[in-house]
Amino acid sequence: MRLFRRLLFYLRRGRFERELEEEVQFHLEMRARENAAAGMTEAEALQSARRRFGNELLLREESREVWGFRSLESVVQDIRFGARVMMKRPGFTAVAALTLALGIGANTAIFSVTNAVLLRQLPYSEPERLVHLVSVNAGRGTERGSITYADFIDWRDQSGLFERIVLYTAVEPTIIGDADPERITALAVSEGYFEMIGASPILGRAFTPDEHQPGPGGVLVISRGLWQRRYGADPNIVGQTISFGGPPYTIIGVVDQAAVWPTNAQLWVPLGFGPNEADMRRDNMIWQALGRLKRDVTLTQAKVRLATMAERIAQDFPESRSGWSSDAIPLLEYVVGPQLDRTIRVLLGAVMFMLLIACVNVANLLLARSAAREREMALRSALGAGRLRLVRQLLAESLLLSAIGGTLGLAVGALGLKALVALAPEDIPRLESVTIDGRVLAFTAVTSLLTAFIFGLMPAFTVSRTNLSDTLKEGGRGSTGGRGKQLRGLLVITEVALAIILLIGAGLMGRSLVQLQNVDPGINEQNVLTFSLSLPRGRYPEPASTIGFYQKLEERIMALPGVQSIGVTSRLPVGGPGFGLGRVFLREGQPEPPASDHYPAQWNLITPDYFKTMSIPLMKGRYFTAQDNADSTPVIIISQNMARLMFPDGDPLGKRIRSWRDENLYREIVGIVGDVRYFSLDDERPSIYVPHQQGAWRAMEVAVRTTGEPAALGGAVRNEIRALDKDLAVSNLSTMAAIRDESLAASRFNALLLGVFAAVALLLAAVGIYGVVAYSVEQHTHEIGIRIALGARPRDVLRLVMWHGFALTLLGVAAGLAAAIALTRLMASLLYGVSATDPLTFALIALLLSGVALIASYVPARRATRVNPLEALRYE
Amino acid sequence: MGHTGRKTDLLPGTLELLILKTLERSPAHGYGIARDIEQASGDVLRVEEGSLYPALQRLAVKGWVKSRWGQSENNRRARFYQLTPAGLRQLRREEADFELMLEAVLRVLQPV
Repeated sequence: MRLFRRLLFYLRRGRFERELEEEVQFHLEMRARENAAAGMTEAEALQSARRRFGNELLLREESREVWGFRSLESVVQDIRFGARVMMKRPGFTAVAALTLALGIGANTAIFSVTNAVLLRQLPYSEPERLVHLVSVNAGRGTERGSITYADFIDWRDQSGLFERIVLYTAVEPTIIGDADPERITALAVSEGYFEMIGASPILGRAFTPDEHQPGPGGVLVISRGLWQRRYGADPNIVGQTISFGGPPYTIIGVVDQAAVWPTNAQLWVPLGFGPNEADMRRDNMIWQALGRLKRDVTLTQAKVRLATMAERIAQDFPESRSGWSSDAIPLLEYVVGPQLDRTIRVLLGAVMFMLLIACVNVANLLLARSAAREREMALRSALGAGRLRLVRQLLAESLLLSAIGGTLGLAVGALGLKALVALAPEDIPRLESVTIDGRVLAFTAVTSLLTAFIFGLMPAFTVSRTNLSDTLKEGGRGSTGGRGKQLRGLLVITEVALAIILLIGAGLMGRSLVQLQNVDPGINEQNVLTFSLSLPRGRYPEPASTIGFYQKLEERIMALPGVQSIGVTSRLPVGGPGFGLGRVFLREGQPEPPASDHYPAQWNLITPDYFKTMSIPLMKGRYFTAQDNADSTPVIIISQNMARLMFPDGDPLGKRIRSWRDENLYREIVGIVGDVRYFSLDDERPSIYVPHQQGAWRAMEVAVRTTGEPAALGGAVRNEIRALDKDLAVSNLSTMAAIRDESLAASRFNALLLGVFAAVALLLAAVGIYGVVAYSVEQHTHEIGIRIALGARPRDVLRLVMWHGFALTLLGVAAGLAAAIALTRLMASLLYGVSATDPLTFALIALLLSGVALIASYVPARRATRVNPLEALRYE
Repeated sequence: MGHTGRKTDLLPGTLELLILKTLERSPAHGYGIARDIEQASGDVLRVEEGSLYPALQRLAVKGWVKSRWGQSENNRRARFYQLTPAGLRQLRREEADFELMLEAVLRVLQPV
């Protein structure tokens, strides 16, 4: 019943107020009349009545409060008051809210990416037990090498570590027949692959054990992506066949590619092994293996056991396995990779700094305001507000500010995340499925809110300690003058130091990027069209047909208008597509290891005009010609750094070398060419070249140098290829310039990101310094007025005011530089061509920040010079 | 410093009891109630007069009094309060409680 009455009250609140006022008036008049009747004057009578009544306002409020929901009402009141206060200083509110938003938003975006890419567990069943098996050779710097079939058998049958282990390898067949020929990535997998990962087919079934037989034809499983794209999600796809040129394969099932690893496969064929000697070789490292550890086996146990087994193998087979060990890497770690891991951690560090700066900035702003509001607090206290009430009021304001900042932060975070995903280099795994992470948002929001709360509440706590009358007196400055000023100064120093660290980080990344961009890759990448071809073994069974095809291809494309030259290679430079093959070489007469060392080099199969097409210079000797064919002397061309390594004091030309572990065929060196960066722009490994006629691989990369825009020739090239073989797919159609550009993508992204953070940090630091100086001006207006009245020139006033801000800046810069020296070594592995303590970068950044600080202090300082001394000396 | 609470010499709750008692006799407006309490207690119970009004509102919210606007003795508009049946019951209850308390205190003050 009571509740009902109270609700009714709300509807009639206006009337209640009026009636109460009328009632009180009546009471006072009656009392006054009585007093007058007793002999007082009219004025005295009313005054006496008032005094006897008590504090009218308070009593009316109390009467009102009887009805209302007291706590709720005052909270609403506080919030409304807070909103009004914030509206009155829109500049302050905007800066504080934006700062919070930036800190929260940036953090959220980066944390979400970190979570999605680095931390989030893989979506397979019990993913923590999945490991990727690799070969390791510390001497050669191999950390994640492929393994041999023999290793796989050992691990499966003897190690006792795995519940199940599977073997797989990637192949790139071309689907022909019903639509355009399409070259896709496929995986040949051993028994139990799908079961191990825990992926169930969405249609049909997976392989049975007896389907794992060697030989062409048979069954396969396709991916959901392929099923939707090429077969229109046909529900009757199971049972249909696919042709790659040879005997057809029957589709027995469809699996979602996101449910397995690796995720880029479009179809899977069963792997089968016969009793084949070559398969059992100990040095044929061409396979990948994935295993699921038994439940009672820990990762450490597995690693130790694998290493022990490898050691014994190395003893038993020294020529092929000396120096090699084996390791198991948790799949998550394998997927992410060390480079990405490092990168993301650096970015995380940067963003945490930014959050810190944002919090410091907000704290600073609130402190400044707290000093300004001391008078208000003291006044309200004198008027009867309890300490709790004051605190609650400030809390409400902080809450409001935090709410605005937080909401904006969410928006910034969402947008930032979209931008991050759009701009990120393509090879970052798992980035597609990133979402705003709730935990992250909560964490950063709580941090920022905490800052806003703590520093927003300062005025309420300090007010109890000040002498009320002092504060209320004219020109009173309150107690936060002294202590608060120190704290604010400290905050500004911190802000500047943090900004320096971020700026230096960004500066180093930027210079790294520039250095990378300026690297000479060893080729002229302009105007070169590139694409990949893969001849199916079925239609091109012997070398002669393969060689013949590529020769005809070169003839036909050379005949096209706009083509200057054409070359075919097994691998394109600067991270382009192709097959990267590393082999080791010995000079003629050099004994085999372990008696001596061998020389590793990248193996490339090329047609004679490759060098001309790529503009790779000839240093000595000659290029290949059409006469270097299968019947003539085996020849080889080496890169200049290879020549220097293998023949430090002699002429390589005419000498013979062999790849002693593979071909083991002596080849005569006929030429030395310029160094080329193949794997990436910072790859300086030596390369060697062998004529295609003496190697005859089927899957090759084609490069065409054009006179004009290379992309314009795309259509013509496709036509020529279709004319030569209608079932051949042209894939990876691109240009050399685009490939080079893409190789810079990661560095560019990092530099961009850090640059954005650094710019924001700079802005925030500038705002902080501006605030300190502006506040100083405000506080010292009185003093400045006196000085000007006494004859001080504008220059002196400027110096006086700016000195404080500038001194803080210098301290901050010094602290920041010192910290940066210690911290940048953490990002050293991400830098190229510039040291982590590069003095030029440090000096430039220090100057930049000092300059900005100077400007930031100058603007408010100028206002000080225009202080009208008369006004300043008057009551303020 | 600051607000330290109402200045009243009455035990909490007594004011409401007195109001109820006053209204038992007849309905009255706020000023009238104040005067009655003043006369009846012979100025011994000195009340900050305005505190009457919150007290009246408390009684109204509990449903023990109700009010209506009417004409005062000198033809001015004034709000008159009167006891509700629930208020009357409450009065009786509190009177009984008060007497019990009084008895207990007297027994303590007059040792046997």
